Amino acid sequence: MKNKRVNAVVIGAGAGGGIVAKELAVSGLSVVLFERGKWPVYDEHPTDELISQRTEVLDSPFGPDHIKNPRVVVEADGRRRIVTPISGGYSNNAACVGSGTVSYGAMAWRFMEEDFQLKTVYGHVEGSTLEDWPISYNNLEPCYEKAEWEIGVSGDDGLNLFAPPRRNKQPMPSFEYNPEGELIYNAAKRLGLHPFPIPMLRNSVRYNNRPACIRNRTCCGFACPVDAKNGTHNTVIPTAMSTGNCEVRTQCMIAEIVVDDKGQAAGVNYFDSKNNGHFQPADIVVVSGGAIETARLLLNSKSKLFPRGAGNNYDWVGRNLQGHAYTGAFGLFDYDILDLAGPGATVALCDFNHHNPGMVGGGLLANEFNRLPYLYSNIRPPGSARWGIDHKKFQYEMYRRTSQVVGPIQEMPAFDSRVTVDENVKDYWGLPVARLSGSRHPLDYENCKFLSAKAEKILKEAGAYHTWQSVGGKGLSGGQHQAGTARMGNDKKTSVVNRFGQVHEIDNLFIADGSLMVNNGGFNPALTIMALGYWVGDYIATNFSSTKFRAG
Amino acid sequence: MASKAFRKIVLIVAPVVILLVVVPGGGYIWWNNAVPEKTCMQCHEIVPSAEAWYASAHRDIRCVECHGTALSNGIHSLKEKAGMLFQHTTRKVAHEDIRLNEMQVLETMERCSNCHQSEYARWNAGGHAINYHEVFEDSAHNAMETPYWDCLRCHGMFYDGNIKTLVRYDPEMPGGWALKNRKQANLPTIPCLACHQIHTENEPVGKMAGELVAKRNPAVHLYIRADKRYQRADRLLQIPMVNEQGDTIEVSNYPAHKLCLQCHSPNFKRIVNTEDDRTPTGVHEGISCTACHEVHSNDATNSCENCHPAINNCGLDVSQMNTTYNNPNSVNNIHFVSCEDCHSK
Amino acid sequence: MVAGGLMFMPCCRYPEQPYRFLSTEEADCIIALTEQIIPRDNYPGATDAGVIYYIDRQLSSVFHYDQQTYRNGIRSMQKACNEKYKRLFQDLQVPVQIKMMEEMEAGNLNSYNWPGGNLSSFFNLVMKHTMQAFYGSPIHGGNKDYVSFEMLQIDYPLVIGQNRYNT
Repeated sequence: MKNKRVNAVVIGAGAGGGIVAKELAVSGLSVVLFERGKWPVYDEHPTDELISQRTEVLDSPFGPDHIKNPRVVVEADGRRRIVTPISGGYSNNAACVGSGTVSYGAMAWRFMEEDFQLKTVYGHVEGSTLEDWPISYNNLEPCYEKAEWEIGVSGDDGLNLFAPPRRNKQPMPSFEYNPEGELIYNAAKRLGLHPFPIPMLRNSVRYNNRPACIRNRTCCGFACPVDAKNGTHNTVIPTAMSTGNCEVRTQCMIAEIVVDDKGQAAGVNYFDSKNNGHFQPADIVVVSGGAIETARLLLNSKSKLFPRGAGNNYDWVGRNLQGHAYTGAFGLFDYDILDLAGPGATVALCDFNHHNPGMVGGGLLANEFNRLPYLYSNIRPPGSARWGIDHKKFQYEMYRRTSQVVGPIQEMPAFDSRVTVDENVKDYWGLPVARLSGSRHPLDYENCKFLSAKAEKILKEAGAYHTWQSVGGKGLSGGQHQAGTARMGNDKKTSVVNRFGQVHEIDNLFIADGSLMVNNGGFNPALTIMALGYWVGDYIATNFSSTKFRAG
Repeated sequence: MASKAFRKIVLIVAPVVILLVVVPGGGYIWWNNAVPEKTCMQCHEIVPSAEAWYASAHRDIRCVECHGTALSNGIHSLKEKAGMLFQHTTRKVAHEDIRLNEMQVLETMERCSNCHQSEYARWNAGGHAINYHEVFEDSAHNAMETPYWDCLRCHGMFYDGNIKTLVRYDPEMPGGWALKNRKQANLPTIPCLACHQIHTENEPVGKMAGELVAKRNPAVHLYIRADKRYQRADRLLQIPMVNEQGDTIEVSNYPAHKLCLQCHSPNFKRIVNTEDDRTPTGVHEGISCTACHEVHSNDATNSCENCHPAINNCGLDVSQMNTTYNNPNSVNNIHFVSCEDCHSK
Repeated sequence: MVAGGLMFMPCCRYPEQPYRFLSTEEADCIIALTEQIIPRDNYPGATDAGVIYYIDRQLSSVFHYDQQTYRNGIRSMQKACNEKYKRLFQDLQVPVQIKMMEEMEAGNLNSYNWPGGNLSSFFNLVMKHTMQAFYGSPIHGGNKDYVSFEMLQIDYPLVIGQNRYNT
């Protein structure tokens, strides 16, 4: 059966795609929202640490299938290694309706004004493709606000000295500190820092007809049993469907974007849940697969005018892959400081995001999400027993007495940190898989050392009797916070899309996810991806009727 | 001639009858009466269950009495047992792969009620016999709540699907919630097996072979829907609780009390009398729910007599005091009342 | 008919075999190894928690790619034990077992007839699996009766109210 032509195909029902689909559907366009995974079902993996999005040991709870979806990682010494969602090093973000927004920790950060103009603020960085965004914080501010109100955020930026300007407050009051958060808060205050409650995409009070958070222990890495965590799966995607204009087509793997001989996107070829191939024609195509899968799809979509993949005539697709080098410190206390109420992270500070001597950018610091027992079995001070009676004793004596202050360092974009496709390794559908290669910029490690030292100082001040640093920032980038592989820019020779997410030279092909980000901020990126979803979606909805984005 | 034809018929029919009726029939009767080692336990995946059953108080009740025979429930049981055989022979089934579905749980419950008639009757008269219609189509409740996954943790823990397959939700529709399948409406949501594991190490109460059995494991377990398995109630953690001021409240470590708390739970700060929690404070601090509430009916009528006047500080008749025990509209909730609520110090 | 057919079931009797992938002798070795990774003290140890059932079960399913590592690792480890102490690992005294394990971890026993193999990485693998089994969910075969959660004083399942009717 042939598919009926629709106005828009949106690929990927995550943070970006769900929002674009909703913006288009409410403005009256017909939309097919494709998702390679299924609708998430809480009951399938409710509290199991070994099958959680945070510790994928035996399976990946919300996909993708670990047998059907390999990737390739190129090690520093050039060796190629096949990885899966459960092997480590995969950079998995979940494949289900809602994607990472189902199981994330749900921090709701706005990037700071400086994050949009890093080059202006800090100048050129040797060996990095550091650049200003073609849009400013002010451009995106209304979109941040829309994300905060439509998806639902609890927080009070009035308490954050470094928060960027905003027209309206966040819709729900902020959460309380847990005992660990209280401790960190007081210590940071004594050090002259400016801690405040972390803004969260989670209900502190009843909101949008869903209940308030119950502080479930298994929060970060898990779906919410009472639906108090806000993602696109329980907000905008149901809204899109209720318009009658949006069909969500799950368990469909997109094989390629079909670009015709005039250089226009004609639709997509995909495999349905029974692995039958289909073509879905559309006026426009929006790609929101996450920075790795979006790049892979563009590279796999070869056509006459774009023989190296859609939008890749200047070899920028898949370049500048960034994630977040997590870095921080641990502290041991001689009394219980953790109550293990979920999600665990409650206090943050932005003193080290910008304008610190010797630093380009920086990152926030926060106390860490709950560590479940298996994860904790890996956390020991350097030189401690890794097994045996001492290891076990540490586990039961220190489980509630270990604090971690940690944060994401803003990575310097590196041209050779990249996603390519591996023609020799195919997935279940016979499509070349994503290959991750390159490494982080050397400055990331220096920045990590700086931030870890600050974290350790806070823990010492809080009264930890023993502290140690865990310094990140080396090796391959990527991870759940993947970004940057289809950079926004005004010059088609040094970017992939324009300021509205429109692929240079393919007027009816858009991108709306973390791929757009010129750099990834020193913050968890979910809210910014959502804001970009509104930014791109609004632009398409406003301009669709006059142009349909068709050249000539 | 007729007799010859008759003989012919007998000669043909008899073996057929023997083959179709006597052999299977005999086999069926033998099967249902033989010891498990010769029958169910022949399948390796059943062995751990059977071993647990041997150690349980129900060791003298045969498999078929609770799990039925191939013919005990018409086409259902025939299909069920054929399915088991099919699974066993076509794929590598392990013990952890097998569990009862909701229908089987409820069938087992019927068997429980044959012997435990008074417990069953009391359960049936109490709040825990609440059915799906009463839980999920309560319009007063539903006006304030939307369905979510975790509803099934405490109600309908044996339901085979999830909240989205159980309930249709549409705020526009009268009542907001509706069961998708009307057949579900009258089924109990908290059956015997929610708090009792049948195959568990447990000596029968009283005298066995002339010896009084002193050691007894707790008879109650918690069925954990998330893991589809049981935990013994005595091994549940005693939850440290506090009052609004943050003072520690003494809580009972009695297994049945810890079981109650699993659903009648406080907020995340473990403050007594928050959310669904009714942990006693005041004069009754530290006692178990089951000190007053009968375990199956949850009825607390005349429960003061369980302890009073034997335990008494002031010589007054406690049952006549101004509490919700005496008068449901009293300001002094029996769960939280303290001496000072009525008497000056 | 089905019922009648059941009568013939005794013919398909399975041999007694507690494990799916490991042989009993291999399992005994892994049991001894894991028991020293998480030994019993005032709290249950790896053997009490059924760690071996987790490992065996995952080796026969999700971790099938680790099967050869286990098979060869055990053989190579036993060879080393035999050469040094003329005994199987599981038959050694605990202090001797621990000494062997320390040597394995340090990479001092890597030359025992295992081309391409490596006893220290085998040890790390078993250690990782032991932690998963002991501290993970019991539904995967280990952490029998939630013993590690009990040890860590984690209330499981989580005792938490549902914000009924609030806000």
